[in-house]
Amino acid sequence: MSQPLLAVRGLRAAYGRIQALRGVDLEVHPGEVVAVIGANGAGKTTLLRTLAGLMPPAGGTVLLEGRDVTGRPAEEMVRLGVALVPEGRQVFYGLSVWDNLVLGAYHRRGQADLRRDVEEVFALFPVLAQRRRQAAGTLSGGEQQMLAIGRALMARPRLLMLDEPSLGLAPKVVRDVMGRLVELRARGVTVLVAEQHARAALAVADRAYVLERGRIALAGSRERLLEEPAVRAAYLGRRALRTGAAADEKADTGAPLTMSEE
Amino acid sequence: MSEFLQFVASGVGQGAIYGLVGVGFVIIYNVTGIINFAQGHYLMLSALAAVSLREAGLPAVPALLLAIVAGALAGVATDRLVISPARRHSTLTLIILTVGVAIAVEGLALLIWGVNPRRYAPFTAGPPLEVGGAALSRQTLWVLAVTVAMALALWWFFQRTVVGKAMQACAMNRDAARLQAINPAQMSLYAFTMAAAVAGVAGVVLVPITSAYYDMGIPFGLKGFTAAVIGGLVSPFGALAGGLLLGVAEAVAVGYVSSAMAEGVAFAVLALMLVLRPEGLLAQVRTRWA
Repeated sequence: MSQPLLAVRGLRAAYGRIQALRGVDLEVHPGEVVAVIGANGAGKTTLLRTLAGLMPPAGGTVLLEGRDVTGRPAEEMVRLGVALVPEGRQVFYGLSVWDNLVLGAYHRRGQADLRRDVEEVFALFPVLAQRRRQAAGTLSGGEQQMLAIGRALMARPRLLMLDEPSLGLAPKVVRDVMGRLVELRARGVTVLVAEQHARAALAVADRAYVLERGRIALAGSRERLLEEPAVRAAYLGRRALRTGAAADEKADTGAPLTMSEE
Repeated sequence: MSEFLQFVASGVGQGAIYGLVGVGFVIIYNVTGIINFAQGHYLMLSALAAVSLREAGLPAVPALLLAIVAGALAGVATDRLVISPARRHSTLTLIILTVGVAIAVEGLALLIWGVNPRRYAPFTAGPPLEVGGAALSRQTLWVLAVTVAMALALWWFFQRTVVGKAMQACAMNRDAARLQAINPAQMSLYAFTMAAAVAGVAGVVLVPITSAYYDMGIPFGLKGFTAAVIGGLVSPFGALAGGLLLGVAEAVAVGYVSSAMAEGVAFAVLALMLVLRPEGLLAQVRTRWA
């Protein structure tokens, strides 16, 4: 396979004495949509925050196209092409949709093609175009999620990371947002998405990792994980397998997975 | 009634100065979380520098501009030499460091300029102007005109420039700002520089009214802080309005009661605001910068 866009080796991170990541290995190849699924508290947010440079790692290495970028601060990771759509969206509430998007391209400020990039985001998310002058805080949850993704795209990332994009969104909106990730891949953006909502993530991912208590418990193609009995039991919900989307909510609770070695 | 108008007329000039100092508190507080107790000291530095530069023979305009630059540089120095190296410490530590800066700057000013107040001639000579039965000194008109100009400049900066928006973004959500490659350390430098420059502007337009003296930093800093608190500490324009309110309240108290009231009014207003309405009188403008 080609050189990975992102290669993470033995990544550790801690809050004080509490270990949140205990040696995570993962790879993302150009053009892939990769999901990290896991229960609340498994370390998904810590993983993405560390990769984005918001948190210093306690150990391990992060390679971006083979180049060691371990421990670089967020301001620099964005310039290197790694953008994060943070958990809970975190758009700038008091600023307009337009301003939020322009700030996404802050490190390219003053460049003539920004306007065209904003128009491209509007083409991807037409609802944002209608709301361009509105304060971001007045948007619905789904619209804010689209704005947060659009803002991250404004940085022209090579790797777009999303932390729990389904959080607090209605099932229909979740499908819409996830659908856009597939659209993004078609445009050449590589995606790493962390999701508690395993069903939604596996619906769009090429490959996925299962994160459990700070370690990768399981990895594989989407097809393989969808077949994996442990994943079905812990993350997809037995009932959900029979009745489709009806048990989406139940899947969110994700009981710990009793490892596939069994 | 005309007596009251006169008090208002004499209060707005001082009040505008408090407001300009208060703007600096708001900008620094929002971007960095720090209450900068050296805020009044930039005003003092620029006021004294203006006097010295003029005495050294410089024409008025370059002397005033250079004096403002001197105040702004003190802001740059505060951020780069004191705040930035201590960034890892708690906000409370950083706030106490600004108290240290204030004491150091005041000591330095004492060494350079001594204890005697320094005078500076009004920008335009001539008798006060009659406005609706009240006499307004020409310098007060300068103060008001400059305050309006500063308010417009700030509005333009925060509403129309990407860097101004980035500073707001940093104030709203620091992590999210960092994810857009907005560097909080750089925003902190901008905030300190702007706050010091605005205080410097206040210093040079004020000096013909009050003279300049080495220990004017604390009273003007306190009143600027009160102005900012009246505005809820979130809006530069709230701080300007708060300053005008405080200036008028002071003038009225001095006029009707006693000149000994002047300092007490600011303390009383500050205490009342913090106890009864810590969110400011203009709570609905929270997070709005215009």
